[in-house]
Amino acid sequence: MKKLAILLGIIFSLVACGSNNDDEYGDPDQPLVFVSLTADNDTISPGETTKIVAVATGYRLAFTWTKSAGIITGSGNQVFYTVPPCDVGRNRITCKVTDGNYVSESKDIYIVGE
Amino acid sequence: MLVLTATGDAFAQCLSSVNPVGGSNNLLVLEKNSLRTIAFFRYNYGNRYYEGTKPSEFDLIKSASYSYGGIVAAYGVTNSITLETELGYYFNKTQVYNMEPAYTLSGNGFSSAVVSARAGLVKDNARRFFISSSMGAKIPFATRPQSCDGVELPLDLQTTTGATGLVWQAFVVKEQPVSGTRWFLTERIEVNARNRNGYRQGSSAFTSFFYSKHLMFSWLKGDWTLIMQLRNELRGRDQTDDGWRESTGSTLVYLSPQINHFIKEQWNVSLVADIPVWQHFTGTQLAMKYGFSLNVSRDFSPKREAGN
Repeated sequence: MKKLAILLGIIFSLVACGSNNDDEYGDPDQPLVFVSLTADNDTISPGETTKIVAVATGYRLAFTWTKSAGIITGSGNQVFYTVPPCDVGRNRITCKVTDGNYVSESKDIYIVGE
Repeated sequence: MLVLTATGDAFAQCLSSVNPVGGSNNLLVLEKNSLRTIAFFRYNYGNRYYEGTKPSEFDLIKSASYSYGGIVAAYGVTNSITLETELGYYFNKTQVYNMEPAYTLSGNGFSSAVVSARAGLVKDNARRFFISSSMGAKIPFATRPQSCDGVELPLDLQTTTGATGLVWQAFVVKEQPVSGTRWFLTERIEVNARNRNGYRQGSSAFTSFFYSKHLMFSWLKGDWTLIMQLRNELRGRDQTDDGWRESTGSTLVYLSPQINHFIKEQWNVSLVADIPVWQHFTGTQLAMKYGFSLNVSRDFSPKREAGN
């Protein structure tokens, strides 16, 4: 019985911690709004890097990045994009934002490597 | 004896995923019901870009390397047909970038498998001259690109392009038992399909010429063979939906010394070094500086097993 009480206590603590984390991320009813996806430069030379920033609001946001070519470094809502010599041309970078309710929205941006 | 047709990522093509077939290739077909298993480890390193045949000042990537482990299994279905499969895993495929602060990206995972059938075309025991050829299919283990921390890794760090392909190989062997020497000529051609993103890796042709000498010295214990390989690798340019991909395609020549040790008439252990001797790249590409492979193989023959 004592062990069961300890176990329940631990579970309660974990749930309580989870609730606190939810508070940190905001209101679960907050809708996802993907405001903008912008790059410092839309044309770069091979080896150059440009910063890309995604601005979004919502509950527990997660950002995923894909590209048609090139190198993305960093993570989260701000990454850096570099064009190696083999990927010159017009390259598409896609940012997908997913909130804690599994609602997602995507935006594309094109960067030319030349 | 293990003879390595060690193709692989040469860091050309911006380091895209060519299967590092570091494994050993059985040069000839196996006897019926025989099984050959080969395990290998391969490491490659590069830290310098080239333009054409000359070193470049371009330095986006400070260094790149990969560690790859693979297995090859071959089974003699008949005395003239052998089925083979190659598959492997990248323990890491890493690029270190010249950025402030320093940044490293790394991928790992299975490469593409190759399943093929080999036929013995010429078997002249009297003249010790043999030819065999194989045709196989390249099958990717994954068709979606790999990501890390929510960010898709560069194509060069993907462990497979996610596309199917065809692999054709041919092997010509001439033995001179009296002098303990052998000559081999091997050819491997890979043609790739487009992946789901419209990317098509350029076709490649690897031609290797080997000379092997059985080492017979009074001071040397055991069964040792020295093999020198001169290999030419032709890589065609990659394509995307928008056309040819810049800075892809190359012609490379390697010298690959190899030492082979045959243990207890069952185990073959082999160490190979890859040294580039001439490289020509289309555009600007990262070149391989050196590579090495460690290979272990064992044959399981029904006669031998019965004898044991």
